[in-house]
Amino acid sequence: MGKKILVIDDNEVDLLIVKRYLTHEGFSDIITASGASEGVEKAKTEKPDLVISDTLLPGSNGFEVCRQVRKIYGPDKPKIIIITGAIDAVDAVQAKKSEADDYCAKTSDCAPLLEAIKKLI
Amino acid sequence: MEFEKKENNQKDIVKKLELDTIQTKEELRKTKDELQLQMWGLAKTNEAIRVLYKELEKKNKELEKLDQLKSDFINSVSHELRTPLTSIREVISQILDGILGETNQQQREFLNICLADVDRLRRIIDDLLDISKLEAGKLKLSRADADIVGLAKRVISTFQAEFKSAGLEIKENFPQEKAVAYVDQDRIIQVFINLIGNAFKFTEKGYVDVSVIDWPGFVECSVADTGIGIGEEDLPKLFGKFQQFNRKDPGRIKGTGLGLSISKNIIELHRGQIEVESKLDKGTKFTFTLPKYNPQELYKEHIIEGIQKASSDKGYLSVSVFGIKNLSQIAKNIDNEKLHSATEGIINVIKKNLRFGEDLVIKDTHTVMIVLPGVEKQKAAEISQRIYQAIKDFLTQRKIELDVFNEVVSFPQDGDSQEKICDKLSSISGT
Repeated sequence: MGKKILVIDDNEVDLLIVKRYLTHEGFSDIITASGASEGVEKAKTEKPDLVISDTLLPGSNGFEVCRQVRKIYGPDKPKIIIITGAIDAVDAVQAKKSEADDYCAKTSDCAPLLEAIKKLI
Repeated sequence: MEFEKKENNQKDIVKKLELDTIQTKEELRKTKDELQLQMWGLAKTNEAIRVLYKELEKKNKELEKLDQLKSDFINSVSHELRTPLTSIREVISQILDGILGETNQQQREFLNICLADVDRLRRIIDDLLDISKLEAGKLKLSRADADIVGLAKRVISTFQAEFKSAGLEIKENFPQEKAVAYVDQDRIIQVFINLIGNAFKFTEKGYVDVSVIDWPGFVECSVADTGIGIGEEDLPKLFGKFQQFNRKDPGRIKGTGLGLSISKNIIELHRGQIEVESKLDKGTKFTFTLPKYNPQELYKEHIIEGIQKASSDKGYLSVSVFGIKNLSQIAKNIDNEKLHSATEGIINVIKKNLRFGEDLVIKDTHTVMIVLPGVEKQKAAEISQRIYQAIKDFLTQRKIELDVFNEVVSFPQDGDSQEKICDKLSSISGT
């Protein structure tokens, strides 16, 4: 599919699960970051088509990452999905306000994430 | 001039109003956007919760399956372990008995240690088997009327020697001579052995007090000791599996940590309750209750359970009722003792002629009901006929002048609900 995806999560296991799942689904170009600043940096240098970020990141959060990426590239590209293990309506609204494209739950089979990805790219 | 001023004034007002309207519209739009955003957030959350819930359900099912596998495993392993253990025990006993030649004092000492440990291992395996059966819901109670005071006395007598040699007293507290409840005797004995055994293990000096009290509606039993007690923080874990606390272990029989869990399960299977009170260094008191049933409740419970199963399996349930004809008249002419022994005899004949568990025979004041789950009417009638003949033979043989009646009520042929079957059954009488 040739789309580049950047995944940001401080939980190594979660990172691995998402990566493996996406690879399995045919996305071959996947890069990862384990923190907010590393994530924003990679977004700058790697120019991904899609950024997937966890809500909670050490010393920062996914919304902040979202705002900074938007500051660099503007509102349309890359697409951004915020994922979370702790579902919260307030977080969902904050994700949208930080101009993320979608907000979805982390599950062991990553099904909701894949659905969200397919809608966006 | 005056007019112009007025006109200007009006224009101002209109302008201001227009401005207000625009402002209000703008505010409304913002509020609408905000609301839409909130709605989106809620919808997303909702969807995610649904997804997570499904995942939870799936995980739960997987866990249930694993738990089942574990139980099956324990069950089969325990069975496999038991067989060789029996032969090991047999061989050691034979050597000890001198059947295979003379043994000296030291050899016998060691063999006795072997034997004690083999017995301990067997107890553990039996406990494991019990717990896996209990957890799988496969333990069936074989209940009958039993005198709980008698059961308690029996267990106490087996402990008497041990208590004596340990310098402990065992007190009996039975205000009534008898306390009858409808229980599985062997299982209640097992509970008493567990509780008294525990009390013995954790009491160094003082006494163990066993009481059985007959209350209207239930029998209350308790085992209290003056032992080391259980800390408050350990009490909630007490009935869990493999829990052992405060083991100073003064060299007495070791436990498996399953006894209390098994006891609790057994009491609850009898629909009773078990409770514990304890104070460190003061002692522990276990109290359990066994509800009494009247025969009416009992047979209703059996029949309702059977019909529920039959209707979910699209199966059958038959109840065969035997009773003495014209009982009210006969009772005037025959003495009670004789009537009682006749009914006992009839029940024995029925039991002998049944291939099913004794639990299925329920005695009412003047009738005996046989619950036949899964049996349809025709078959039930055949079985009943055979039993009827056997009873007649028994009565002629004993020269008892009684007439017996029999009726079969079947689900779903005679009624398609619990109520209808129960109504039909309660309308049966021998007059």
